[in-house]
Amino acid sequence: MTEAERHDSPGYTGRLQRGIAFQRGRRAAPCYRLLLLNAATGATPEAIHDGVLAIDEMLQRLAAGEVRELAGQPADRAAASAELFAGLEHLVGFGRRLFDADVHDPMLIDAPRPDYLAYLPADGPFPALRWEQDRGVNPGEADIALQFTGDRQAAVNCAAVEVWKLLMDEALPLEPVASFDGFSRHDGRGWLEFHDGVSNIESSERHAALEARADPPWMAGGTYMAFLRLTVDLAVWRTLSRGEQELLVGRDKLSGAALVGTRHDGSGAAIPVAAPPPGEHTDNRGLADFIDPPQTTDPLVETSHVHRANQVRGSPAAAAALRMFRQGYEFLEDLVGRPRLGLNFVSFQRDLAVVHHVLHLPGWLGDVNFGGPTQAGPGDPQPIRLVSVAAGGFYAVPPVGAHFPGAEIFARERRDG
Amino acid sequence: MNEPGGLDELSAAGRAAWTRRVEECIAEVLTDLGLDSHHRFVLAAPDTRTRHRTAVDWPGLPLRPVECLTRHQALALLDWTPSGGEGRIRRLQEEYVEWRVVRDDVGIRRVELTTELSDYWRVLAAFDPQRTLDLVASFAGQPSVDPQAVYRGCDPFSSSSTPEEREAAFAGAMLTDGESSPYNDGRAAITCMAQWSNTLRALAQLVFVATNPRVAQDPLSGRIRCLTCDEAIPLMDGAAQAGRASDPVLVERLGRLAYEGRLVAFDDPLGVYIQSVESTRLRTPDDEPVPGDWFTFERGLAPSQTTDGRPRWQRLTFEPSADSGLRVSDLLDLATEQPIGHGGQVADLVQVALVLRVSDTDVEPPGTLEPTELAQAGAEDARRCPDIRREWDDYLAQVGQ
Repeated sequence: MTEAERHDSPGYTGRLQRGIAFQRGRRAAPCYRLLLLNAATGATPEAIHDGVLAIDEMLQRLAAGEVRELAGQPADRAAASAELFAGLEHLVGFGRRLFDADVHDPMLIDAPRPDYLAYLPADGPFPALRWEQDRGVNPGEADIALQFTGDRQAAVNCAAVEVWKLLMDEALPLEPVASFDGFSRHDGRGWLEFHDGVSNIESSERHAALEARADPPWMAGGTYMAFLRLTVDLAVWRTLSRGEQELLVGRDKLSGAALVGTRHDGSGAAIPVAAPPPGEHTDNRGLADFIDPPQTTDPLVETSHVHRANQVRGSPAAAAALRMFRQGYEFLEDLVGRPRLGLNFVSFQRDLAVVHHVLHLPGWLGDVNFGGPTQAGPGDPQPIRLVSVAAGGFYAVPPVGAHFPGAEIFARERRDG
Repeated sequence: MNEPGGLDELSAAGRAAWTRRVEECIAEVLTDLGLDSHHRFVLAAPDTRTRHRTAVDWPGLPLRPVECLTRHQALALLDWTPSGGEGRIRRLQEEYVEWRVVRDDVGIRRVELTTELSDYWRVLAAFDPQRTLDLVASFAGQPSVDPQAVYRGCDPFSSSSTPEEREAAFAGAMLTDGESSPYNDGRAAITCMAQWSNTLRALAQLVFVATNPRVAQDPLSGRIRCLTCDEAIPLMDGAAQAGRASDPVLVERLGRLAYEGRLVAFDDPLGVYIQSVESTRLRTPDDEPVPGDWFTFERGLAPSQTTDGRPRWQRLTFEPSADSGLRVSDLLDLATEQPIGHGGQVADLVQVALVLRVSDTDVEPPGTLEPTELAQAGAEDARRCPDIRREWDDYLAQVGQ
C-alpha cells in the first residue's frame, strides 16, 4: 500500500485527530458545534491537564453511547443512546490564549507557541474582512476549543451539554465561554446558493495540506484550525443580478461550472461566460476543470472569489499555492428584521501562515471583502461588503497522544509538583 | 526586448546587447534540451498569438530552510553571510528575491530587497559603466564608489577596455563566490541578485522544461490529472528544486498551461517582479498601522504604467520614516505577534511574480497523453535538507547559539 493509499483508507487519520473528513469519498458530518472553554483564574497546569483528560475520556465514551448519568439504563434504551451518538467525533484545539502569560498565572504551558498561533487583531481581523459593528469582544478566542461533528444535531448539542455537566459535577476549573452551531447542506450549496464549503483538493493530496511539521515539536503530525464565524449580508447579496453574483463568485450559479471568461452586453455590462457543465462526453480535462477550475486569462474572472481564495491553483505540495482544507458549516441565528446568518468558515492547514497570507495579500483576499475587482471598471460588478466576522480564532490541533492530544505541553513541574 | 521593469538605463548598444543576451540564453537552453530550433509550447518571444497575460506569484521567504530547520533557525540563517563570504553570499535566498539587512546599534534600520537579474546588470556594466557606478553609489547612499570595487582589475573607462572585459570585471567583483564586493554582498549595498540559481538562465531552463503536458493517473481517485510539483520535479533533471516557494508553483502552472494547449512566452519586459506587500500585517509599538510610504518601490513600473495594471517593481526598501524615530526591529508582525528581527520576516510579506504571455487554449493541442510513470521521492530528500542542516551547523560554529 502506498503512502497516499494508506492516508486515504477508510477510517485512517494518521496522527490527526478525528473530526476532519479528508479521506476520499467521505463527506463531513452534517452537524457542527464548537464549544470554547477558558481555564479558571489561577487554575494550575495539573488541574487543566486533568480536566481536559476527563473531558476527552468522557467524550470517547459518549461516542460509544455511554451517557454518564444514564449508566445502567435498560439495554434497549442504551441502544437508543448509542444510535444517537453514533458518528459523533470531537477534536481538541489549543488557542492563543492558552499560551498567554498575561492571562494565566501560573503559566499553564511550558512548550513553545506555534509562530502563527496569534490573536485576531481587535481593530479588524484582516484588512478586507472586518469585525461586525458593535462587537467589543471577540468571542471566538479561548484557551481550548472542542469541535463536535456528527450526523445528528442532537448529538453535537448533547455532547456540548455533557461537557458542561462534567465541569459542574467534577468542579473542573474550566468554563464555557462561547458556543457556535452549524449545519451543512446535502446539496453542497451555501446561503449564496452557489456551490461552496467543500474541499476541492484531490484526496491523495489532502494529507499534505493538513499535516503540521515539527515546529514546534509537539505539533508534529497535528494540524491547525482557523475558525471564522462570518455573517453574510444576504439582503445586499440579493440586490445583485445573477450575472453580478456569478462574476463575484466565479461560478455559474445553477451548474456550478467555473467561469472561463466574460463578454460585454450592449450596455457595456460584463456578462459571465461559464464552462459547459460536465456531461456524458466530458473529457478528463473538463472533469478536472469542473472540480478545481484552472487559472483563466480573464482579468475580471481572476478577481472572483474562487480565484482570489486560491490564486495560484496549485497542489498542496506547492507550499506557495497556499492551500487549506475547508470544512465549513452554515448557521442561522435569526430572521427577525434582517436575516442573521452566515458561514462558520472552518479550515485545517499544516501552517496558519497560509491563512494569514490568503487574507492579507493584495490580489488574494487582502484587498477585497469577498470577490470582484478592487476598483470596478465600466460594466464590472461594484464592490460590496458582504461578509463580516462575528467571532474567530486560530487553534493548534495537536496530534493524538497517549493521554489526550497535546497533553504533554502542560507545564510538567507544576503539574507534577 | 525591453529592459526589465521598463527601465531606460541602457544605451542603444546596451539595449541591443540585452536583447541578444536573452535570445542567446534561450538558444542555449534549447540546445541543452536537445531541441534544434524551437520548443513546442514555449516561444522565444511573445507574439500576436500570446495575447493574454497571466502571472504566477509566491512569497519571498525561502521555504526550504523553514521546512528543513525551524522557522527561527531559518530566519537567522537566511540573514547570515559567513565571514569572508566563502562562496555563500545569500546562498539560501533562492526565491528570485534577495535582501540585505541594514543594522545599527539600536536595531534594524532598513531592509532592502531586489529581484534584479544579474544578467541585466552584466549588460549594463558592460555597456554603460558610468550609469552602473552611479546606480551602485545610489544604492549604497554614497556620492560615488571606487570603480575598482565594482569592476575588479579593470578600468571601465579606459578606451582599451572592451564590453566583454567590463562584464567580466563586474562579475568578478559583484557576482563572485570569492572576495565579493561590499556593493553587492550586503555590507555597503545590494545591487542585484547574486544567488547561483536566481538567474535568467535558471528561470528559462525551468520554464522550458516545465512547460510540458504531462499527466498522471491519480493513485486514489483514478482520475487523469496534471502532475503535482512533487511528481514533476524529479523528472526535470535538476531544472527545478522541490520545497521552494517559487519553483513548485511555476512547475505546476506551466505544466497546466501546456496541458491546456497554450503557447507560453516570457512577458516583455522580462523580469521577476515585486507584486505586492502584506503591509497590513505590521504594527508600530503604539499598535498603529505602518504607513504605506515606509515601503519604497523602485526600479520598475507602477500599476498605472502597465497595460494589465500589475506593478513591475524590482527593488523595495522598507524603512520607517526618520521622524517616526522607529527602527524596523521596533515593528510587530500581527500574524506572529513577534517583532521584526530578520530580513526574512520582511521577505515573507513580499509577493514576487513572474508574468507570462499565453495564447488561447488548444492553440497547440497536447493530443492524447499517456500517464507518466512516477518516481517516488521522500520530501526530505527532495528538499535536500542535509545541505541546509550543514549550513546551519556552520552557522552555529561561527555565530553560536
